[in-house]
Amino acid sequence: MPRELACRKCKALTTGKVCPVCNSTDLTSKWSGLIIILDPEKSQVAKILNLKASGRYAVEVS
Amino acid sequence: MESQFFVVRTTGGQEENVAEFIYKNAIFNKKEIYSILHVPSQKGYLVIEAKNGQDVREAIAGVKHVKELVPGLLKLGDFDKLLIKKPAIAEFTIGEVVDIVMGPFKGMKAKITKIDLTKMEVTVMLLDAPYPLTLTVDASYLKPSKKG
Ligand SMILES: [Zn+2]
Repeated sequence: MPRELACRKCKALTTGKVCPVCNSTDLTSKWSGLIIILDPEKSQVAKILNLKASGRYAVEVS
Repeated sequence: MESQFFVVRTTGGQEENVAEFIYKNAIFNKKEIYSILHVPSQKGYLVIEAKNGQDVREAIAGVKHVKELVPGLLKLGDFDKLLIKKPAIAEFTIGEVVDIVMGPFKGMKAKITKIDLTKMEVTVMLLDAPYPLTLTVDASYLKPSKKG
């Protein structure tokens, strides 16, 4: 599996050229950590990070 | 009921693979897992946010490279700072004494008089100057002054 890219705006991970969450094209291969949101309604982590969509996100993006 | 935070110990370096497996397990078996986290500095550990320990135990059952479910719970306040990297400017408060670490006034102490979050600029008054001198600089020019 090719290393995914992280969106600089919302930290979502993608193998595409456009962020699936916020449609930004400002993507980077320099990211670390992993946050998987399964239920953005019930997750306190999703709330404090203001993540509205389930899916995979980086912790740190540079 | 609020979610709870559990810690799962994994083989070092396999945290993200384990997280992906637990993710798929949780969805496939409809477990009440709300989020799975791996913070880069926490080698060999995952944090799992779930409704209860039973759902976590079932979601990690049989997953390769899972070593154990660590007894006890974490609080969000135990690790939220690892997830939210505040920009340097958010660390400062008005009235705080700081050291100037860049630019022509490097090495001087100053007191913060204004913080502009939209421009990411901080206005300070130099404390070591013979007369009141204020300047506005990027937050990266400043470090909190060491006390004592
Ligand atoms: Zn995005």
